[in-house]
Amino acid sequence: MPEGGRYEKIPRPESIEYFINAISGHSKVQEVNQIDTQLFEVIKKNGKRLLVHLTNYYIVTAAEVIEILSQSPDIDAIVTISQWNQWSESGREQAISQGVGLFIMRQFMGALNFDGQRFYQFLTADQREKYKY
Amino acid sequence: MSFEAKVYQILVASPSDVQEERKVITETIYRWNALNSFDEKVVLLPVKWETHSRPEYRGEDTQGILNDQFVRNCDILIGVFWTKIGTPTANSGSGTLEEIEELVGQNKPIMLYFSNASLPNDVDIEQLQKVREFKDKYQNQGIYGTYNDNYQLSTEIMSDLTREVRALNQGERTVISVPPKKTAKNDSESRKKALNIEINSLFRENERIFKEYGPHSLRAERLVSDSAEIWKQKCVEVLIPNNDKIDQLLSANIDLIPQEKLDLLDKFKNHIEGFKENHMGDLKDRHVPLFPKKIINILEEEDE
Repeated sequence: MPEGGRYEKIPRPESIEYFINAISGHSKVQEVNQIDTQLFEVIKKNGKRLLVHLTNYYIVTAAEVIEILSQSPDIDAIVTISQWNQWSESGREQAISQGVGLFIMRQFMGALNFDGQRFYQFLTADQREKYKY
Repeated sequence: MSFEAKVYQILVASPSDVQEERKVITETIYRWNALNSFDEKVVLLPVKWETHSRPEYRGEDTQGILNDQFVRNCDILIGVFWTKIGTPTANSGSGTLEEIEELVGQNKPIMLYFSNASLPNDVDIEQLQKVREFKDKYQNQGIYGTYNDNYQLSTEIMSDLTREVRALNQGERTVISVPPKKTAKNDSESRKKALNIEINSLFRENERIFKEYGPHSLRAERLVSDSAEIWKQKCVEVLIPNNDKIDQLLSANIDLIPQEKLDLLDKFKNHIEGFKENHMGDLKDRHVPLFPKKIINILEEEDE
């Protein structure tokens, strides 16, 4: 069920605050900096730096991934903030093909435990079950 | 004190979903006898397969056996329908329909009644559609009664039987006869009322779940929550089946929807198709049309 108006795309201020607090508290994260309204720098304790685009799109498909990457080509991950949101397979394939991770918030927390390919291809246990082939 | 009387056999015909009504009809006939038999010199005998059939084997056509055993000899038929038309027989769409055809063929009185009660959650849409088709067909051949509850059914039958018995005694005959006060317009209003009750109950259930578990609920303010999984489960198990049921009910009663609101039905169909795909399919789209809130009043005429 999409959200209309201003917050259809941009996360609500309280969602951004929640994101910063949650990621800052992650055991593998050193610090989080907000660079722009939807752009965040995540510095990990191992020294790796991630650029993350935060969105509130209800569903992220290939179309949304292409749109976001055309505006922020250097990002490492797209996170759609609410657990009520979702991504489609086309969206995930599009993101991975460009070396970018596509997550909802809970999955992103899991992915932060890894780097490189294991980071942007991370799936939660239930998703691994769903997508195994 | 004994008295001379003519005995008319009243066949009680119905599919299996109106068992209570069958009892009510039987009791009403006995009550009619208590009130009228002595004065009218008429006794009405309820005839039902439960009490009047006996074991017999022919290898086929069970309804044919019942026709021979007691259906054909009846003088009046009282038929009742709600959501089912019944199981097809060798010669007709159902046992009840064959019994009606049998007595219509003999130019005997047929008294038909249709229930306005709310539809059960597990209603068989195909059976319901057949009842509607049968009702429409017979609307062009006679008048039938409708009832909201068993008290009303009993009251209607009591007075209709009195008229029918007097007509029989006076030698008057009509192919299908029942009280003149009921009209097709009244029936359309009754159907609309029953449909409104049914779809509103489904819309209300969906709204409750949306408000309690949906993406704009209080639960969703906690961005990471198991409630999101409950929402997704409810979408698949309740909302989507309810949407399908509403769509089927509205489509089966499209004649009740004002012409200017048919595009609203299309918008609703577009929404439920997209909503289903987003929750159950692999092809998703955030541009799926939102739930058209006006659909809740789709049966109402537009205010000028």
